[in-house]
Amino acid sequence: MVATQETIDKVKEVANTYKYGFVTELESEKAPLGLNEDIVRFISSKKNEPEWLLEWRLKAYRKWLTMKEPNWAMVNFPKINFQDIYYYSAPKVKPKLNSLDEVDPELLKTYEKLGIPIKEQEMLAGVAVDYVFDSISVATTFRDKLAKEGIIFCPISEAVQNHPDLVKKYIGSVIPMGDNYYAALNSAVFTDGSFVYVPKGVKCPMELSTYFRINEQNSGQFERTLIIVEDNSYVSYLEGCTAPQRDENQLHAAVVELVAMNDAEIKYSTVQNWYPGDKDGIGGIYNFVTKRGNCLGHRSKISWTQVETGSAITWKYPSCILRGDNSVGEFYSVAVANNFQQADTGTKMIHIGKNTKSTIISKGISAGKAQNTYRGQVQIQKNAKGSRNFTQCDSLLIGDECGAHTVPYINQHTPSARVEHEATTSKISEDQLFYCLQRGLDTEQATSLIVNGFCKEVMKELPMEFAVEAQKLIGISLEGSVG
Amino acid sequence: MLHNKNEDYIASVNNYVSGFNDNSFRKLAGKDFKSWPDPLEETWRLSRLGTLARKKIEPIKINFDKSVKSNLNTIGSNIIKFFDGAYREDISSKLPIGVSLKELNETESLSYLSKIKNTNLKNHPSTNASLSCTPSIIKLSVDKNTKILDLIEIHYEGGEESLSVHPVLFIELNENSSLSIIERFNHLGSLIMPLQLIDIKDSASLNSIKIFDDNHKSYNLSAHCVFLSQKSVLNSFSLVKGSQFTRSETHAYLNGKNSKLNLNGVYISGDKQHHDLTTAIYHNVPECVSKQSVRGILGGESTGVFQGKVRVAPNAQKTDGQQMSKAILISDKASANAKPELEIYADDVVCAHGATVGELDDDQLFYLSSRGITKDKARLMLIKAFLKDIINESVEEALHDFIFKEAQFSLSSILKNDLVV
Amino acid sequence: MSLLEIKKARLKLDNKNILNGVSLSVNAGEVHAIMGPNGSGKSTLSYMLSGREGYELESGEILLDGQSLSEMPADERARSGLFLAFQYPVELPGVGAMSFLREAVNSRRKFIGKEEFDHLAFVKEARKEASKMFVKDEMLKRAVNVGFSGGEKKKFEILQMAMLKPKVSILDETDSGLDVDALKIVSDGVNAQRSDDNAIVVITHYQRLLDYIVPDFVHILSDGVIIKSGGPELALEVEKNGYAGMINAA
Repeated sequence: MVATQETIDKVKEVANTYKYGFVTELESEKAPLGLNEDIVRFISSKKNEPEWLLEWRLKAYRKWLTMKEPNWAMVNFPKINFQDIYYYSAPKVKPKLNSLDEVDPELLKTYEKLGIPIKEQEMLAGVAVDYVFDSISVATTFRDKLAKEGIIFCPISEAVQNHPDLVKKYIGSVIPMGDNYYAALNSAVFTDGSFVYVPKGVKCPMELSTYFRINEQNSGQFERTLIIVEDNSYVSYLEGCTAPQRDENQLHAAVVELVAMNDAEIKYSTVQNWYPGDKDGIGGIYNFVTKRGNCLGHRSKISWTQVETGSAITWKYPSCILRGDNSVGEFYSVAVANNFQQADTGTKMIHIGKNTKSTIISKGISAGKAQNTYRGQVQIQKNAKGSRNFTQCDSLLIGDECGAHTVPYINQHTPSARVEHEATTSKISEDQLFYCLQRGLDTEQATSLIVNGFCKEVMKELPMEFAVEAQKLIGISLEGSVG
Repeated sequence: MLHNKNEDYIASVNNYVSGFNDNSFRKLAGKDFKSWPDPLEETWRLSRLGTLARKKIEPIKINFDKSVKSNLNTIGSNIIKFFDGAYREDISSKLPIGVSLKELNETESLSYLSKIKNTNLKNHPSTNASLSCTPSIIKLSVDKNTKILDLIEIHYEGGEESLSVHPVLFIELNENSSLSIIERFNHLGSLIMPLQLIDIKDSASLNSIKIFDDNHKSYNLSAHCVFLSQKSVLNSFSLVKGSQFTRSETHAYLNGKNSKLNLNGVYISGDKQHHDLTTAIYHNVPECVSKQSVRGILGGESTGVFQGKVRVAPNAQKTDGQQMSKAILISDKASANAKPELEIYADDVVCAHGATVGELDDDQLFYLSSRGITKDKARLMLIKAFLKDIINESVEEALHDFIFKEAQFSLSSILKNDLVV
Repeated sequence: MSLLEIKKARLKLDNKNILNGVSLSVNAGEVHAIMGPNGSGKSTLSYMLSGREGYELESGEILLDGQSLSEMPADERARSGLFLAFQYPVELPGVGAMSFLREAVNSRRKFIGKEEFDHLAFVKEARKEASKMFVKDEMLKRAVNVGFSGGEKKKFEILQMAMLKPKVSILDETDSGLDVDALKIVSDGVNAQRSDDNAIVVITHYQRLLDYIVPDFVHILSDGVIIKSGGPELALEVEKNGYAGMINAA
């Protein structure tokens, strides 16, 4: 949609007025409470965005207004008041630092408490970390090394400035702005996130990683991530989240888009540990995420691995569109729900190209009064001859007050393809527990061991340093659930 | 002028009940028949009724003097006949001692209505339309401590173009009784809406076979509601092969400890047929077993649907719930959908489901070829084996051949049209 | 001093008397065999000793190295040095045998104030013990007991015993499901661990195992009481005359 000169002028005018009118807000780096077109303009102008992006955001916003919140997931929560959320806030740190030394020491301290020793990670793990604190990236490292390979790894707000053609070409290309309610909202108000571009024939020499944190009270977090990997290239991307305790529910509606060209491979791993709420189900993050990868090229491969232990409510279906012939989609998931947590998560594998393959391994663990649902769709379209899917979904119940649900959708439209789905539900048997106790392990150790055994097929897909962290997390998440 | 697509049939049903008392079961049911299921409704997404809703259909008017021509041969000598959805005593045979058949009176019909309304079939179109328009609710019951050895056959025939038929049945097995029935749906008409309530009391057991073989232009929307008490057993097998569109929906409530349910089925679909087996099994008490196995063979441009839900209530410990669906596509234009769903609220359970969709097993085909069997022959052998397997597992031995022949008839008609891929 | 002391142990399961006052004293350096027909309470005895939930004593007492076990949960009993080799070792899907062993061994070492093994030291130690038991490295890479043959499962039990260095080991029907070769390996493994600091209680239905693990004392358990005690010759008597005669005589 091309904006008329009149609109452009008007937007400029409005943006300028608000810039002016928001002087105090600007100091606190926060937009006023609530959402309307002016807020969308405010965010866009804060980011110094080009016209087309503002137009795109406004279009998404208008689309969002016409949409309804999805209600098919097995989750219950009070209606969200979208006017009671701050859509833009930035930490009081000057962006674009040259080195980590310039980062607010308070911020560094918080990371330390969370057990994320920045320097150590930098040096030991060889990980380039793009920290997102609330909405703005405050530090980016290892850029030189990546730049040498021609890899772009930067905040998406920066990519908008420096690589507008790439962003314009691919943003919304995998997840259209009106794809679903939360994706539309994100498209209108996203503040920042990561951008990765790997040129042809480059294997990214290190794992790219971003740690997300929600900190500011009442600030919705709307990250937007876009990863494009060209022919014959490879990248592994890690995303980890931790959030401090707090009572008010917070909305987190991220969008992640992946594009893989011919023979390209993207591995996307997530450890999600947002605040799950307390033992009585008070507080916690609402995690409503849209993640989708487009295997656009022949023989391309996209692999999602997720360990979901946090959030009060998880609504998340990292998916693959297998468009290129012989492309491969994978989804490995562990979802732990304890106390009053509700998780409705799974994947969609849409087979379009010939001989496409997908594998889904999902392990759900429910404890306390939690509800855990696997929801997944496997669709084999007419031309996806010779395609294969294998799905294995296992649920483990700990205690008799929780629920485990499996809702697979299989749509098969071509005879030469094959879809297989298996699901089981079980509990930790008394025999297994006693066997471990008899060997001197306490109940928690034993539970953690058995649960981690149950999840092993998924955990082995995680990069090493992540796997260790994830394993600990699962143990911690289930503390007090047995015995 | 635009034809008001949805309200035609709805209006004619409402018109049908308009003469009845406001508190009559017909009027009460009719009041709830406001529209066809929305295609966005989760359980109807895969089986949309848009085309049906656009058809001009109205409920059939029963004429008991109409002469009846049957197209069905019989297996034994105990036959119950329904024609145009009405029970026809004149052409039915006598029933064995211990089995009785009667029409429900208004009070009993009201209680029937309230039983169904307490289940998740309460808004099924057949529930509301059929209770509005049925000639009468027929109750088939078996006395306490009575084991009926003879097979009871129920034939449903009749029906006419642009008319709907509404056979409504109440099957009651009293304590410690047993019964085997075979039901065959063979209507000509446009819309067939059978409704059944099956109540199996303590230690009673029912073997039930249903063959859906209505006219290929028709719609069959069947709804079955099953209650199982302590130590009761239901073995049910459905063969779906008729109609343009058949959806057989069964909701089974396992309400007594140690009850056991086998709910199996086969659909064989060709041309533009749409066959849907939808089930919901509610494990409400501990120590019950449910097994489900569904197979589909799809040719032509047909579509198959299996939706099965197993729900285990919070206290239903030691539940064993198994579900398996397999579909074979033998034509490029056929498609299969499966949604095997588990909803589990108790921890000490063994529940599993599996689903496969695809073509015949390559290894098996190769094995047969390596023994000199032609490819087409090998395929036919494997498809037959696929069918025979589940028939043998699901129905009593004496009926194996009969059911297999019924299945094979449809199979050869779809295989004829399809160059097997 | 006795390492294991059972005093008038009584236990009910589902309101049925299973143990009706079992008393037994096992000293350091000794091997005791408890024999009895099916249903005599042998397996109950092993669960009771190791502290399985639901197998709590109704009356009586058990002491491990002078310390009362009655109030002690199963894991603490294990860390204190009580080991049970299961008749039917349980499968733990996905739980690697090596990491399981390490977790268990380090729990015990920590409890008794010894330094925990680091990863490398542990692997070295485990490989050393495993080779003695003819347990292949490949087996330690698999999940605990998953896909193990009957013999492998029992070997793995005895390997755990060797690594945990318990004060008292209870071997519950360790010979069941073993062929002669495996029986020999398992018995050699057990015998290698006999020392003046520990004690072993072998629970078995058949005399066969006692040809390989020769006990110092044999006790006959019937209807939840020990009806007869003696030396190894008692086992031969069972072999020859069966349990019936003995039970009638008692």
